[in-house]
Amino acid sequence: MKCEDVRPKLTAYLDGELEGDRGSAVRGHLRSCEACRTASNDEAALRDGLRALPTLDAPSGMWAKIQTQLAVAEIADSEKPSWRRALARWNPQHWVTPRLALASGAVAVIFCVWAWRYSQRERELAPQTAFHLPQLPAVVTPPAPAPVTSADDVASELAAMPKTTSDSYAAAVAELEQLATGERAAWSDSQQKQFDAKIAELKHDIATADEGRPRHRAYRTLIRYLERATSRDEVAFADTRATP
Amino acid sequence: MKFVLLTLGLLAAPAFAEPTPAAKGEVVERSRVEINPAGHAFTNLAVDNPLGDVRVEGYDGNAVQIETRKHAPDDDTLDRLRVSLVPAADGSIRIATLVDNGKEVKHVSRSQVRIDLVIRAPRKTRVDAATSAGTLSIENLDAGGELDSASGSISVKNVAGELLTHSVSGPTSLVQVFGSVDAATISSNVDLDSINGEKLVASATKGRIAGRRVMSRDIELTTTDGKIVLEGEIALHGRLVVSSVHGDVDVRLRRHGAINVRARGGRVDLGQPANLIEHTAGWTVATLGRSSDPMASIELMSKYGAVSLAVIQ
Repeated sequence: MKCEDVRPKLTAYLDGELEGDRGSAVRGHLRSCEACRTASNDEAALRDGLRALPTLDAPSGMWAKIQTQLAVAEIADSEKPSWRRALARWNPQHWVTPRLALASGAVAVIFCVWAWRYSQRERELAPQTAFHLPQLPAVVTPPAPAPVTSADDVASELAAMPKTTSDSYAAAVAELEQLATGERAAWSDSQQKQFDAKIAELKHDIATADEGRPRHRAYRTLIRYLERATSRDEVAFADTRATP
Repeated sequence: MKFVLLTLGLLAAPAFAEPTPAAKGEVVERSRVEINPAGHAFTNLAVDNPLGDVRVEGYDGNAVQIETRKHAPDDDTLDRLRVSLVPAADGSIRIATLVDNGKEVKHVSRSQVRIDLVIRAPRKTRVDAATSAGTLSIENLDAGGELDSASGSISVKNVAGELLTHSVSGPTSLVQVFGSVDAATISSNVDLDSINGEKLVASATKGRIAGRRVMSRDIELTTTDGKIVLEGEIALHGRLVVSSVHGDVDVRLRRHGAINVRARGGRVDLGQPANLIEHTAGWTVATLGRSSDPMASIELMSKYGAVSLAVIQ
């Protein structure tokens, strides 16, 4: 087996796709040919490096746009006259459905990116010695898609909702605290201290709770305590009230 | 595979999707999905829908049926509306609605989109549901739940089990609830009808509380500004505490044994002659019925409003 026969099969060999004696022949050639062994090691290192690259998430709207484009294409297709659709059946292009075309396109793009990176690696490795593992350049993480910043979009409004609800609870707390201030005059020093300590504890719970339902629950606990303190004199008469 | 049936149900979902006639300038998509548990029936249902109404109905079956109705101004926006469904092996299902975000999406306001959910679940399912401005209603369920709404109304009918409801400004209506209840609102009303359980706690900071046919053993109603009207029964050894800062308190009760009443308010009317009436430190204290009978405890107070009690023997 010659080098020009082995080189095209290296990728398949490394991926374990060569069966039987074909794999054995390549392996045998690599044992005896240092140049091909070097090429094989380089390709293995490059493949491992590529696998280590972080996976990038596609923009969230990408699939929706693809679906929309497919739908538009399908609608346009359905609006063609029947004779054109019949003619299209004989057109080899018709065999490729839009989905398949998109999938093929995606594969082609991935291949182009891989090929470009491979050629870059080849250029960088050219002056290096055999068996020297290629040094992959630092991975540049592309900037994350900018979030929708427009406050008038529903997504932004939904994201702000938990905070809005918390603000409503906070306003209710402020009013009840104001009401409780008027009641304090009738309380003893120890009762005031007890009240203040409880309020501080419940506010700490609010501050440490996650935004959303946990924080809303913490607010409701404080509100209920304040309601009892103001409407039922819970603090002032706690010691005179029978336990249920 | 434990969730083979479930998967089949999910895969079949698009088959049920159908366009629905919509108002001009609006696109509506309606779909149905049914989830059949392979083993035990589902026991917990969590729903989070900030985009519209949620209605959960209990029925005598094992599957969970979900009907979704999405409204949007155009197809692109409709595609952004998502309903996620996550069944777990522990017998719970989580349903959440969301709007896809992205750099290139066309911006729409919240009032232009809507997702309404109608869910039929086994009666023994406990429901934990949250809405924002949409109506949240459950009925014919036997395991209670927790309902949370910001400005939408909460409606409960024919539900057994422990029930918690919270609302900022949406009204709450509870009818035929058999179990302990905790209902709280900030600036809306609470309506109670036919409540029968161990404990009933209801509070409305700036709203009124109205109760009819309330028979819980331990009742606690609190408002700051709103009136409280309660009609019901006090149990033997029961406890009733009704209090308000500015609102009037009007209680009409049927009693089975003796009751001990403490009342305080701008004006206090205990109605019928009591065995013993004392006035101590601003409180009017009375005992109704024979002291040898089992004694229930009633405490009524309003700092600036009137307090009245009528007891039906």
